[in-house]
Amino acid sequence: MERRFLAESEELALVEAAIAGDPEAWGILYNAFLLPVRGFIAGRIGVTEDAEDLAQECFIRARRSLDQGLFDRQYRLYTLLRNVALHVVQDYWRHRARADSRLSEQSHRIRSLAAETRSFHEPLERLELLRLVFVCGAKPHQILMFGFVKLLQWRPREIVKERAESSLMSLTDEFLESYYAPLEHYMSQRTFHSTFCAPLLAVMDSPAVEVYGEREYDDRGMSSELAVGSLALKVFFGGDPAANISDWCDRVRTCTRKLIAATNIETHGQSRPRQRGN
Amino acid sequence: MDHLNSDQLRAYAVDELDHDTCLDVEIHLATCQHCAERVKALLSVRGNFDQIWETWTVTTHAEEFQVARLRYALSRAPASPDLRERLAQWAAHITESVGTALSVFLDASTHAVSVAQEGLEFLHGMSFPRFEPVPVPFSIAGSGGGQPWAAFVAPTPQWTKVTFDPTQRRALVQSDVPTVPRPLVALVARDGSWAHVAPFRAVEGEAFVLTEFEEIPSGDFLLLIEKTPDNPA
Repeated sequence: MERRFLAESEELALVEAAIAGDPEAWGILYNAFLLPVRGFIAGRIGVTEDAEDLAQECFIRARRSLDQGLFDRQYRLYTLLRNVALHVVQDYWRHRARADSRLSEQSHRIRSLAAETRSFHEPLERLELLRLVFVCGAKPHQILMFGFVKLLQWRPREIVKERAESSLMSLTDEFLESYYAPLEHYMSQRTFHSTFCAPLLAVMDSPAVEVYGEREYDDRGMSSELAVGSLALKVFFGGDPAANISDWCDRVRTCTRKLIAATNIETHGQSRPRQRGN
Repeated sequence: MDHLNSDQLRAYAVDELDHDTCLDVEIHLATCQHCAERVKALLSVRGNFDQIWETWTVTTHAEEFQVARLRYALSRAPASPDLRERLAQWAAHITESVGTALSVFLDASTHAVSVAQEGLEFLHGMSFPRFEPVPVPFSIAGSGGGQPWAAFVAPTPQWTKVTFDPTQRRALVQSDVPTVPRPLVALVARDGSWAHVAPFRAVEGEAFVLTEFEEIPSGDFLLLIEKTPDNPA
């Protein structure tokens, strides 16, 4: 469905009218941005009644900023609303943390009720991380070795000794089966493969030359008919194989970190300001 | 409602979207719990990458699933208002607050029950007092047959005895824990589908306290006893 948002000029005119005291103009802006603001908050605290309340709080604070002349006209109004929403969310978590701390010394009532109404959520962070690893841009053999070393806790020397002759496809099957085994009570095998492992499985059928490029293809003497999955792990070794594997694991970490633009500072989703014309 | 795909969600989380696309995504998030939770998780990964990465193995991942399911089941167990508050508190801190635990498999169709301690590492990372499973060479009154099983904890400092009657699908848990409030005892399905919780109660003329569970469904479940000052792990 094609959704129409306020054009920049229209938005600016409404903002000016609202600053001049036109309640109707503020009403139009409120209606235009209430849902996105609520969505911004829901992405930080979940879709709850609290998200609705916090969205209202955002508009109260944003209106105050306009009245106090704090709105910078080089930015879109939604940038202001998002920044306000971010502060509102941070205040919300600070308040929750204080309440938890206070209640642990007195009554546990509010915290208990919060825990009581919480629904079952899968441990989503690691599932998202798993998805990111498979599309992080590292090469298939690097992702596989990361899986064996980091996630399945194999030692690199153990892999070199026992799996150097294995094809990437058989290693893929082994990794996926080993990762899935402890999770089988929580999701179907089909979901696990289609949701998380599809990119890695798909690349196994691709011609090696497409995935590894001409240069590496020539260097390693691959035949043109070979698919990635048929390559043996040892093809990629050079120098100290165990050190190779450690380097590949580091590369997967670096690529994944870059893909998610990791800040390592809990910001609850700080966003960059959007200037007019962006 | 169609969900946003992984690329869209990641692009949103790392702030790569233009103004209008960003508005579209946020309008969707306002009403889609599934996508909102995924965004929340991605933002958490972005903000806590090193911490989440360092502790990531297949084992920790599976343990998180088990703990989440356990909490969910406990928080939804039928309970009186007074018990509910205490139960929710226990559920919220379950990994630190289990004194003893037992893994149980009950098959009512064949009147079989087995007990074990394996697979409980996610709860504590250390050993609970050792239960010794033994077949009980007598029937529980009213069981009408079947082979009850009992599991004992040696009396150091307290003793605990759990007896399962597979015929009647009943469990009796006894202990000599003297404290008030007495520890909660929970039966929780491994798949998180149900949980029954009750506190120990005094038995007139007896030195021990007791909890009973009736109509236990067949399947894998855990028996957990709350950790209290007088019932340490």
